[in-house]
Amino acid sequence: MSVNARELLVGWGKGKQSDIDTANLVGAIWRLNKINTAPLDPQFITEDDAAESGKGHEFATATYKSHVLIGPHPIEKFLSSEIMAWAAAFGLGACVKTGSGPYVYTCTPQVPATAGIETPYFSYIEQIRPGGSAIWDKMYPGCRVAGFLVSLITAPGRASSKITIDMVGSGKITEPSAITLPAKTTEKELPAASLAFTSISVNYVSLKCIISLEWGWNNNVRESTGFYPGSGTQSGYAKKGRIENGDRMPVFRFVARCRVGTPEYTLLIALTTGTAVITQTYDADNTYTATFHQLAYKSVQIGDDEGLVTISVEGSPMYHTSNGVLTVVATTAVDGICDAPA
Amino acid sequence: MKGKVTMRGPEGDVVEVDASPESLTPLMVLGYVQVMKTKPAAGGEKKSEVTLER
Repeated sequence: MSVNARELLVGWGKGKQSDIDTANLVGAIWRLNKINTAPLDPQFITEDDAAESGKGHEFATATYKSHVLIGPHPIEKFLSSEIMAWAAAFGLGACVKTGSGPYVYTCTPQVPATAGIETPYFSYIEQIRPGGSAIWDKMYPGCRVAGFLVSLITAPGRASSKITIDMVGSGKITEPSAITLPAKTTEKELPAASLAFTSISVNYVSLKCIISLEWGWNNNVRESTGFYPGSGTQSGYAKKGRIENGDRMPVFRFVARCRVGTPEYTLLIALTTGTAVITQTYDADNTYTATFHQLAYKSVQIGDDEGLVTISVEGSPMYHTSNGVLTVVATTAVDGICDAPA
Repeated sequence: MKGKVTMRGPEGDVVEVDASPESLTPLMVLGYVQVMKTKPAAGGEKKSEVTLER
């Protein structure tokens, strides 16, 4: 009997795990829709003895368990206040929660000197027909956000405003998950049409010239340092005992229509710096603002969009001495995002 | 945003600041973390509030 890919149920930790190995409890897990339909595909890596001498030939005679890889796996979603708060909290690593409903999550990149180079871990659950005859029912404890990217384009509909979250896991797998996923979270989506966007004192929305915008964060997680002596095993395969940040990189780029007096080349040549402020809003209780505190332009390129001259701007977010690189303030009715386990 | 937030610094100092991004961001950049006071459940062994880091 065939299985429709959209039977997939997906949930993951709304709160953070206490450590990489300890899964979220069911009360800290939420369930959400996503756009991409392919399930996470754990990679069990094997090796053989073909390269060894002593066998009398060059062929393999045995295979051996090596390690297990979880991800990178994308979670693609239409952007909502709930997922923006979650992605910022888990992706940047430092989060302060205020308010009593709605809740305001103020998120910044965590400070390695005090918080280390591992952002919070969560458990990721995928199920198809869970229960006695489950097709697929796995939980992956020890996942973390490798990066996220918010993409806004010129178009009507929900596809104009999306977020892609790349996650990686430690390799730990619990099957069956023993988790009953809660009802789907009702999300307040943030359309591209609600955008407010200013970069180095130019308001691209009021000028009606913004075409597309991408911003986000990449933790450039280290691929191989998780496998160390004592990192642990899953079904005899080595798993990661840590997933660490590499050199973190903010992402900021946009495309706008070229216009009379367009200032971007001048700003680039003069190395002018300023802030970039991005806001999307459903209502007063469901919104976010991302602020790059000190930004210059790295490249400006002339292009063409449907016969109209455009400029593509690649930003170079920098470290501001007082405010750091990026602050994301996300407001949502959902409590418990990135909360430590009780 | 309204209200106050209690933050603890890397050296252990505790400060209370406005719950605004303008107040929080410079502290978070220095490694300050939020601390929250929670009351233990009635009948619990602990009598006083406990302080937890977020």
